[in-house]
Amino acid sequence: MLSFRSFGFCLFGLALIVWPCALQAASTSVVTPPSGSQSATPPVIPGATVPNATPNPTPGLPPSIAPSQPAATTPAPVPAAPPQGTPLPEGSEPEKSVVQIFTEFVEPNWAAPWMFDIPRRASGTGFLIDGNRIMTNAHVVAWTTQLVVRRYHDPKPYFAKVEFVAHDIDLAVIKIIDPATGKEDPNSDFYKGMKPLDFGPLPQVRSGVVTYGFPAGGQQISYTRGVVSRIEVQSYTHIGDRSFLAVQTDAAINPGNSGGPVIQDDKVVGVAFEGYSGASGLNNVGFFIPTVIIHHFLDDIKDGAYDGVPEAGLRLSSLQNPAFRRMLKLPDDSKLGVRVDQILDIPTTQALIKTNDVITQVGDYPVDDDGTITYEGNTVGVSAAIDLVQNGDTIPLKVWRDGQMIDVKLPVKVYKDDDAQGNQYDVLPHYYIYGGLVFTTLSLDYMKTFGQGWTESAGRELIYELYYRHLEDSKNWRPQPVVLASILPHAVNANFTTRSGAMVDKINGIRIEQLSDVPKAFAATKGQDAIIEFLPDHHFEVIRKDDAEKANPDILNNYSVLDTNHEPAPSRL
Amino acid sequence: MNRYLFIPLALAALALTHCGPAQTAAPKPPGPAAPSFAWENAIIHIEVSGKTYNYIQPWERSEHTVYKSGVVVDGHQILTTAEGLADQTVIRLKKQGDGLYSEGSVAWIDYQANLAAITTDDKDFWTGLQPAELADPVPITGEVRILRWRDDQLENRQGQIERLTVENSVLSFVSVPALKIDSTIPGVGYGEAVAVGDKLIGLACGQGGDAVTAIPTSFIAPILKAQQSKTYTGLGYFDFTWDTAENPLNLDYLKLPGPARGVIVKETSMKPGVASVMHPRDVLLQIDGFDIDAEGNYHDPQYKKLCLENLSSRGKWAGMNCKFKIWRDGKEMDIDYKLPKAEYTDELVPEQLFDQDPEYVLAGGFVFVPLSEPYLRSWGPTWRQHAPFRLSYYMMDKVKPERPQRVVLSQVLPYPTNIGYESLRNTVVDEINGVKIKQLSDIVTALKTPINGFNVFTFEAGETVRQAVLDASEMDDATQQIMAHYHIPADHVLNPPATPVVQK
Repeated sequence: MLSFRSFGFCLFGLALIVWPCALQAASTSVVTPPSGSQSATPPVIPGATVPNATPNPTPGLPPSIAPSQPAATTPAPVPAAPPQGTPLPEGSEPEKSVVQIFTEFVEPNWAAPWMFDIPRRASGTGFLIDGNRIMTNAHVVAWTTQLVVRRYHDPKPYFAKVEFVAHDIDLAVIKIIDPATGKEDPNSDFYKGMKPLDFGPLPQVRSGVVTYGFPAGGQQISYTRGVVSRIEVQSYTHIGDRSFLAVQTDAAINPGNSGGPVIQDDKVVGVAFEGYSGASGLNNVGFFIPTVIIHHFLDDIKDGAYDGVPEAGLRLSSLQNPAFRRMLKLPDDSKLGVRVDQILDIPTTQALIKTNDVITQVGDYPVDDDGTITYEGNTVGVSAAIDLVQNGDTIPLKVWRDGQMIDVKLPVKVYKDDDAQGNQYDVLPHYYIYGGLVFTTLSLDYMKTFGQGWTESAGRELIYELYYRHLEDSKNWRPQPVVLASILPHAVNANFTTRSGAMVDKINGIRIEQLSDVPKAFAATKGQDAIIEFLPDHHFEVIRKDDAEKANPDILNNYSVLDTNHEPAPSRL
Repeated sequence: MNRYLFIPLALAALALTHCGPAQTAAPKPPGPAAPSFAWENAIIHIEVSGKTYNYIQPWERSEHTVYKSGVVVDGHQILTTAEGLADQTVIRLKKQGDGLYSEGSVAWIDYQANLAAITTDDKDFWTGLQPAELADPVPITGEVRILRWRDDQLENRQGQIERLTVENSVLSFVSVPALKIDSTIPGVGYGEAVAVGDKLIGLACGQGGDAVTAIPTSFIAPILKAQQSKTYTGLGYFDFTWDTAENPLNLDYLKLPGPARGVIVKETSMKPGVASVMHPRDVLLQIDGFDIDAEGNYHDPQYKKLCLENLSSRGKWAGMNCKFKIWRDGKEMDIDYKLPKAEYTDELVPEQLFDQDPEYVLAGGFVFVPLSEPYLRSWGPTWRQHAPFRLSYYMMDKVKPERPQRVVLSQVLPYPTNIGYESLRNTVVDEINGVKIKQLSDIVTALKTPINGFNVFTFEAGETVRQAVLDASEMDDATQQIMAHYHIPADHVLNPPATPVVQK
């Protein structure tokens, strides 16, 4: 099953354990495809976070050692260019442009959303690019409360802040700041003697690359060498439910390497971001984000905001069966075309594309009947072609329909309706508390709080609501399903038999489509009692309105809840 | 007064003092007296061989043998649990620890109740055997003995009754009473006799660590009697779900005055095709004169506090009425509730498929099967976690007239004509050639009407692929070739058994 927005983990068809390579990174996740099911099937069945086994960075830093300057000499003859992939001598670029990033981060508690987990530390790698920016992975800087950057052979800590972050493609740029003001400090000493690295092209398979970074922390930059093994569309585990072009290498990429440059011929050909653990049964398999994705990010943020990679809204299926091709009246000698199997609820796509359309070309790329294109000499999933465009662009398609080829210009935009199905970052959970009843929005992050076996313990109706309702029963789909996440015990709610993890259907007869409906529904209580109804069996609980509202301040005080209502982002409706 | 007359008068006076209005003393459960009954003449060792099915490859058969225990009862029958008897091919009986087997057969079986009776035509078999007496009521405390033949020796082990409770029957969703016994005897749960003194009080039906579960004879005896008198109609059940009423405000909302009591009905009409007399948000206050408390229990005169579900089988069978007192829309009402018969087909994903070959249809390499719990159990003991989520989620759906069954494309047996579909599996079917597939047999009908020469298979929205197409003119030949290649004897098996259309 293919998609312009493939669930990349499913392409593997194997049980995998892939971790983003920040040391003790915030968003490490164990990804296994759904057992017994075919590829690209919702739901994602990720597991728990991978426990970090590596030590924290050493608190005391060694004294700085100034590099010695060579004496002036007669210029030596320029040697012949080394073969592609030959490592550069110690102390030359690009390692001077590679930095170590330390993050202090705090994640929210999605089941008790007024609370936060204990602060943690992690480290990763970054490198200087044009514009006084340091590029790294999004998962290195997710949830950060403080970023400190250390230069090559320089113990001095420099403070930084995130300028732009792209959680879908796991990239970020940060800038050095003046800690006194919190503002960007373009004149900082940090940049002295550092040269921004240039980006290179998509490397060829079998060519050599070198990673630069700080795996397992440490204070000395580390290098690993390998070849480009394969270039394919792969799962980006930081967000969990997206797949984009990625380069596989056997150069060791380990926790701590995240965000570091992968260099070929003195140029950055990628950003190291994830790898496999030995438990997966695969060895020497790491991945880096290629420059085509990096450029997409940098182009996106030129307007001062990151939009994201747009979505065509098409679920595609390979079209290799001869009978199906005959039924669709495709020429016998044609080997092109993937079939539109389903269309998401995106009005522009629904208006232009029909089920059983056959897409034979995306942009400049003919599409083979197995759903692949040839991208710079590599056979990759067709979604790689759609990922080249920016939010709001139009993609030219060649579409076979009813026995004829037609041209379709398909506008594409970023799709946000499924944000809750993947991992979310840097946006605090929404919640509302009434009489000690804690309501929050249903999300993968919430369900992971049930532990590693959440697929069994979270409640089947929650999984169905999050991953299947919009596909099977769009009339009853809710844009932001609400759950009763927990109950802060008080006399006013002590008799409730419904406990945590219950899907809310209605309050006072008002169907709850999103969290902002909850306070409105309670405010609409007629009489003395508010009635809350739950799915799937419509059981209900009653709470006395006056008692609940009188009890609120006590409850919030007892449990140190600062806000009754936390909804920082505007409603999607 | 003549002293000889005095004594009878005195005795009569004594009798009059201690007999008030005419009363029958309540039967008491058997006490732990030393047994004089020779249990070795009543316990039977049972060997059952039968067919084992593979629901992923439903044309395959293997065999299994299980060993059970039974107890002789009146009428030349051996009482045992039903578990292990499904799809049996050979039953053999051994008595009194001697080495000879006699051939047995099932006299009657009730899977819902997990009970069965075995008999034999071998008249000599019954010589020397004694039927056991079933206790009714049964004790709910005290010591018991658990008895079985083991290596031709009668094993007699001690146990201690913990309690009597109500839980789902081993083979069914029906709630039945269960004795919980603490005992270190290993490997029981196959019909072993549980005795107190000279009386049988239960048949072991399960074990978890040192906790043995037994079906109490207070439940068995009425069924046995009804079976023997051919008045047994099967177990009934309450086809509605309910919530406890521990939140008094919930009852206030329903305008029920007074102290918290009763349970609040949630969903009704679990029995397909039968309109329930119960409505959501009814409060069930009383069943057959037994008040229901806010936790869903009633006070049983013999067994104290038990879950109300026990009242669906307390001396009643399917088709009989229970007298309900309910609270509805602010008023108290009396209604008659007719117990629906418990059947596996009441559930959209049937829990069991006993005594029938697995159904399937093979078409062009596509293997279609009905969705069932035995199919999901193919994923092993942790199937609830590891079976495809969407398939197991159908267990939350009800049977509807327009969809009494869900049909699954289980796998695709590869062949050139189905190239491109090799990875399709566990995908639920919606239509074939525009015909809604309500049950497996509809596939055979639907394939007779291809669309412009093509068989178009449409799967449920949300599946990985919504549509697949095969050439109708190639299908039969492809099916034949696939059957030969994969050693499949027939292209379909549908129940009731139909003559296979194509045989190898």
